[in-house]
Amino acid sequence: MEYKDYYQIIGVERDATQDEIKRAYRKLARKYHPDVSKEADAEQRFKEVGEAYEVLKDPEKRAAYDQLGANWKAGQDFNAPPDWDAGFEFHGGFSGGPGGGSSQYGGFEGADAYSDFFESLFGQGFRQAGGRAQGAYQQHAGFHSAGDDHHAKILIDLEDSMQGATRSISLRIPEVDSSGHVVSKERVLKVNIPKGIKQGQHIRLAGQGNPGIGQGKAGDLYLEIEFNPHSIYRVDGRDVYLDLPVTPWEAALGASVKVPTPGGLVDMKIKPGSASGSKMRLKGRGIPASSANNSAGDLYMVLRIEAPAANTAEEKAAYENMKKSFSFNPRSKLGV
Amino acid sequence: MIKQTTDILTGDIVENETRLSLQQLSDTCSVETEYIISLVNQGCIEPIGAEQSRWCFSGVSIRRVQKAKRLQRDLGVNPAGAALVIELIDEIERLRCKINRM
Repeated sequence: MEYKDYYQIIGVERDATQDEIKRAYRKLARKYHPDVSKEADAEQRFKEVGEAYEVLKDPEKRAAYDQLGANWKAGQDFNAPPDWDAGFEFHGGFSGGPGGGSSQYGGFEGADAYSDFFESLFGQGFRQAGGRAQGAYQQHAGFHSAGDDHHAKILIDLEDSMQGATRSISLRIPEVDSSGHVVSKERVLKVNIPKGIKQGQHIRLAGQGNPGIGQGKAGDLYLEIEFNPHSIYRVDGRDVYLDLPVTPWEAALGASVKVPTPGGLVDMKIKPGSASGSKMRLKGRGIPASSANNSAGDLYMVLRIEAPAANTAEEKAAYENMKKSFSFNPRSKLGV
Repeated sequence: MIKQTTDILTGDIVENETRLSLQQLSDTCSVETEYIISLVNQGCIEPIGAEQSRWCFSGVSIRRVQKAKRLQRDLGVNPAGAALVIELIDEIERLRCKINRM
């Protein structure tokens, strides 16, 4: 497994004070919090930073980590030396995931929330103790409790929402096995994506969350929908936007052009004298309604006038002709 | 790792159909009802109905409560701060959509 340089991750020197570590952590946690940050790897970074802080904030764990030595480089192949933690006492009681609680990102709160590196140093004792406790809890006859709800985010394509679809999703769920160890169990679900679902909406799958204890009811599974970025369409609620490139003469003289829409090719009439940036709307051709209470979105085409480069003599002559024919100053608003 | 496959599941779109009571919302989000009430008092989520005993919430509230909860857990943001952060995030999302449309 790879060595992790927790000081480098938090961005502090090895001799930083606890206060400095705390301040640096807070700053990074805000920066990479998945609810706040739009950076692509925010979730991963947030977990890393949380793990590093979990170790460095606790003087006992920090001291144990420090005595591995300062010569390790991040990413270097690492195995914990035998009895490396002799003389240290780790206070259990760290909760399920980085950041002081269970993480809902990247699948479920899981046994895989911390890196192998962390698990090999600090994980074992805690996991076993926790596992045994939970096992005993579940065997306690006569105790009933409803299972927890689970939450996960799934990525779908715009087309899935346009037409409805069935998607396989794979979720990782920690479970306690008969010997009291936590094992990561992969669960593959096939889920119907309802037609007309919007980004940010949730699908509720009743009874698919955590099993209840005793005769307690199972929890529900909530899937938050996010769309993969599309190569040509942009989505806003149920409305879909498309940039439509046209030639200067199509925009000036009008034309009929073929346009792709999520529902298939259509012929669009460009009005003579259309300006760049002007919008054309196809009513009801966006994301369809998902229930009787809402209506289908619209498809907007945003005209982009694109001028060709003049390469041949003939093409250059055509531009020369335009120069003669137009008294056009695109910079008049600039006062020049 | 153990694999397990199940039949095709069909669910509801929470935001369409759902009307949740105070208790259902707090159960769904795994938070205390007091926390929901504090978010209502901050105007972070809006119940339908005047009296607390008859409050019901639309599915959109689920997302806001969960965000507030994560912000509190991970960054130590209280309900007033969470309400502010969520409004600013919504505003940023609106602006991003606007940029996308241009």
